[in-house]
Amino acid sequence: MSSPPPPWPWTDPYVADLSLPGMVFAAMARSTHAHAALRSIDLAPALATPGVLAAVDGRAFPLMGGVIHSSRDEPVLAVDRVRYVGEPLAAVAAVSPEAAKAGAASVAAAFDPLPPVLTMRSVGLDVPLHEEHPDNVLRDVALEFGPVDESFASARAVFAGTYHYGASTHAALEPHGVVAWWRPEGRLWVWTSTQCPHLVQHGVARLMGLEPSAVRVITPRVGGGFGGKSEVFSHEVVAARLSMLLGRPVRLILSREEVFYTHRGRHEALIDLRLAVGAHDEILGLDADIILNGGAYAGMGLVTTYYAGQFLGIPYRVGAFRFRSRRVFTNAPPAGPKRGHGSVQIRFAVERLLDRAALSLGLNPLAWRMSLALKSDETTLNGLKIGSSGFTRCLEEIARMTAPLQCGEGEAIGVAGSAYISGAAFPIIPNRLPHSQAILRADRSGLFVLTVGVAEIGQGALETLRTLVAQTLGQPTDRVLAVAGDTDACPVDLGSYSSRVTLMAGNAVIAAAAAVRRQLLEAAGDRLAVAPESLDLVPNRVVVREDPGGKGMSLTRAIARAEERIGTVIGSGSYAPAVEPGPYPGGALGPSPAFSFTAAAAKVRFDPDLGAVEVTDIWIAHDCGRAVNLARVNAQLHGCALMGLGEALMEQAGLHRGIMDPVGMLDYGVPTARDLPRIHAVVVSAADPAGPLGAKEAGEGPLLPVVPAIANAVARAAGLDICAIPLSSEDLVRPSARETPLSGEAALR
Amino acid sequence: MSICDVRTARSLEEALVLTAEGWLPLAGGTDLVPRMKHGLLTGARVVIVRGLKELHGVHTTDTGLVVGACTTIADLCRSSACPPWLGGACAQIAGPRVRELATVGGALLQERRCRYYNRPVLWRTASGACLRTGGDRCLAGGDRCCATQRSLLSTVLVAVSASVVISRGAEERSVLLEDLYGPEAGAWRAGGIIRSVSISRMAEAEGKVAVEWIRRRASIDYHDLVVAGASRAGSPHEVSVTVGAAVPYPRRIVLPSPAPGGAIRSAATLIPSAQSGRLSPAYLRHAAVVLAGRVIARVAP
Ligand SMILES: Cc1cc2nc3c(=O)[nH]c(=O)nc-3n(C[C@H](O)[C@H](O)[C@H](O)COP(=O)(O)OP(=O)(O)OC[C@H]3O[C@@H](n4cnc5c(N)ncnc54)[C@H](O)[C@@H]3O)c2cc1C
Ligand code: SF4
Repeated sequence: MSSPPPPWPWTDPYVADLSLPGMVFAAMARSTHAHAALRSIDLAPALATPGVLAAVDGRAFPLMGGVIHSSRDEPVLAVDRVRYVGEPLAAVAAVSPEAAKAGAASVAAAFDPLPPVLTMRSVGLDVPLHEEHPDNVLRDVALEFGPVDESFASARAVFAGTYHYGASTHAALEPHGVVAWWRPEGRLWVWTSTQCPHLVQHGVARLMGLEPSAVRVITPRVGGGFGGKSEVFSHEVVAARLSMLLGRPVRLILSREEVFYTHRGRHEALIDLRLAVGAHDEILGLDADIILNGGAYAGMGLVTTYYAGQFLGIPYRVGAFRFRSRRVFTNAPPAGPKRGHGSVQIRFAVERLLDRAALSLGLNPLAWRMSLALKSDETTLNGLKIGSSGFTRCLEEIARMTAPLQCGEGEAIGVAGSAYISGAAFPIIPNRLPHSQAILRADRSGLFVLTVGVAEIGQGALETLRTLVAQTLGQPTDRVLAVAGDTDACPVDLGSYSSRVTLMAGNAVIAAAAAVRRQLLEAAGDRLAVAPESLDLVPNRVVVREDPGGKGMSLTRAIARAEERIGTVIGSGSYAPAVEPGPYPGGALGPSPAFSFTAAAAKVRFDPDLGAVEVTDIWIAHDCGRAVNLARVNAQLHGCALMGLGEALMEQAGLHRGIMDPVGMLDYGVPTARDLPRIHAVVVSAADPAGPLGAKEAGEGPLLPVVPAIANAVARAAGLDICAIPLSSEDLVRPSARETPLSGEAALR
Repeated sequence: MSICDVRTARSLEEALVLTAEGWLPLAGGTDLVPRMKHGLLTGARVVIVRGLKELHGVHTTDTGLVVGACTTIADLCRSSACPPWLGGACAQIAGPRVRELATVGGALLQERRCRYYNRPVLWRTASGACLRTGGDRCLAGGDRCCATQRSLLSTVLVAVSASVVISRGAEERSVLLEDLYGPEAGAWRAGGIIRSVSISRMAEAEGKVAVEWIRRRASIDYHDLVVAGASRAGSPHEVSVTVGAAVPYPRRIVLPSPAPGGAIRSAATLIPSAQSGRLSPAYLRHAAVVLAGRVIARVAP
């Protein structure tokens, strides 16, 4: 077999391609008010619309949605209040998508407008969105590690800045969508574009008043997620309810506009940061006050609130640090996890301030970062166990690649560094169960069928897991098939988020593969009268390790012999991180089995007359542990460069006069092929003992330093202090942007 | 999409009869169809004209270049008759897929755009109606509608004094494109069919047309500001600057010689003071002057 095996039949189409006998179509009615009491809602006009078969409103869903137990505040459909423009109000099922839309458009709702909270800057002063949070703050977290005040008092230099990071969204090409089918036998099947099929299974079951065993979630082909498909959404639950009412499959695909209202994108952040530098140029202290714009509901915001502070210091050694992190409610679509969750905003602030400090102190920004780098096996002040660190090597690679370069008039190079988790060590719902599980069956045909609960969302996770199985069994990857993303067929996996799949599902599949390998070698050893330990698996054969040309047998025979001995040849594996939480409240949010490291540089050309920025080159050196699949890792590095470029220069998704803006792909500026700079990606392998064959992560970490590297380059090229993302030509050209002139020599120029 | 009727014209005559009755011509549809989807053309009747042979083709004549109105921008770029300055400008319009559909005539008569107008129904309902959608105020802050035609091609063709042949019912005339955008030609813009565009030979001298623009992304995005400079091959002292995309329709200023500075600065005054796009009027005015200086430096003798 030379080409990869075809995908599992159920996972072939996207959800919008699914068509089932008797299927009907659903559409949602949404709020046109940013903040209002919902006085009444009348479904009668919708039900009278030709072709409409059923309609539901918030009264059909007595329970509140939300990922985290302690902050379930989001109704499936608005009940007595609407909190953002675009919030789901009602849903209608009809014989055609057009009839469903017409029905949804005729839902009559009456509102009493309330003053909207449009900015997070007036935290504590506005009308509360939720009665439980009179100050509009979801969570106010303050943690301190080490003697912060003393470190600032004894510093040789203190730097301070206020940084603003604009909200952005995921812009996955495939919009969210679902087909739900309440089946005659009393079970609900849900095909949905999600990163977390098991989370959706439990969430939909809870909100529908069903047992999880009554719900089967299937993930068809998913056209990207980037964090935006890792919650249980209204459309999934209402499609299920409508299907239950009608006894027919219901398809509900969000329009692009609705995807923008669904959001869960990067939190807008306002960060006051202070940095204390010691006599030997060490970081004595960091002190951050972080405000996050969470939008109308909690979602995963609790995690974001902690991550923003917990990752303040890494990838550097820091003498002491403290942070206060608050996530504020506003009348905007809820923010949530986006690639590099919680960490991208704070990285921008820290790397900008470090760069300003380097200029002011006359330090080479790269060499300084090298001197500050966390090394393997260090533990941070807040208890993050680093495992392997290839950060210094990443910085060396950046130095090697950028050293020969000359910068012309208006050009400069900026650098930045970062570290990121390879999966969260603790699940959102506290328990001691495995995070990932895998089942591997050897088939008489010589194929291996791997069953895992992860969702393939276009990132190539299944190819990587198949590769890990193949390497453990000494077989080519195309001998391994993967069945995934079906909660009936697959064991539980927490999902494709938090850069956890390679490490966590990877460890589980290796354990399963090792069990199958043992069974095969024992069966072959028995037949060949050789100790199993002296045998090895090579492509299509079992051989004696010391004499591969001698005694042996074909792989298919070995599988058959094993079946004779033990029946079905099957191995299972599971993984739960062996990591302790930090000994303080919130100490479970931050730890990870392993950390990836990245260094990046960007070269820009700046046009001072127009304030225009052109990024000509991006260099990324990323320590992903061992690269199980080099092509996939490289693809992630390129993708991160592209997304970082977009966030730095083009993309923004926030409120304009109380409404999400933009709400379409033409206005939301994902970089095009013509915007791409030259991307130079290098993989650094600091294999980690916690990772499968030493692997860590590559999906999110490489994004983190790209934005500050671009900002640092622009700061140097323009001679300006860059304090806000995305960069805007208007700010860069206006004299007011020049209020904080930079001094000192640009070390990399 | 709430469209009442769609017909495909079998002949130019039929199309002219229908447009005289208020039907809208549809060529590539890249401008019209998104407006339909956004519920901005409720009740409109549409006649598809892109198949009409008479409206296609790129030819050189004794006096210059003639381009059929339904020639796609991609076909114009590919034509050996297309001069490099025009092909280069066309290659900056939208992205490759749009250029394969979008026509020259459609580019010249595409609707003026606004961040409060080119939006889906729910967004517009939430933001409220403006002068153009039945409301009583301009949401962009203008005292009248200041939406802008974000067309690079219009700007460049106004810069080189291109003219169009346009029919309306039984009438036909050749008008300077610049005049077609003037206040008196409103009825022709709304009820006519552009048949062809003519670019006289004077504009074809390479290096005498220069175009600069502001655009967020290097592809797909509509231009925020286009400034074109042109000088006449025969009379090098006549240098003009045309400002487009940030103004309702492109406007041309002929610069006095030998001291064009003040006129360059007047490019800024063309930009409306209300903000209908992503960039502020203050920035656009500043940028218009910067770009005008740059194009003049490239075309001035
Ligand atoms: C995603 C996208 C990006 C874009 N980016 C750019 C850009 O970067 N720069 C730029 O300059 N433009 C840009 N455009 C605009 C594009 O150039 C126009 O949409 C296109 O040229 C319109 O041509 P069409 O044939 O599709 O017009 P249609 O949509 O068919 O028609 C447009 C209008 O012109 C009228 N019309 C069409 N043909 C005639 C005719 N022969 N006579 C009279 N009236 C006619 C129609 O009635 C309609 O009102 C972009 C468009 C899109 C969709
Ligand atoms: S400029 Fe004003 S009136 Fe014109 S479309 Fe925009 S908001 Fe409406």
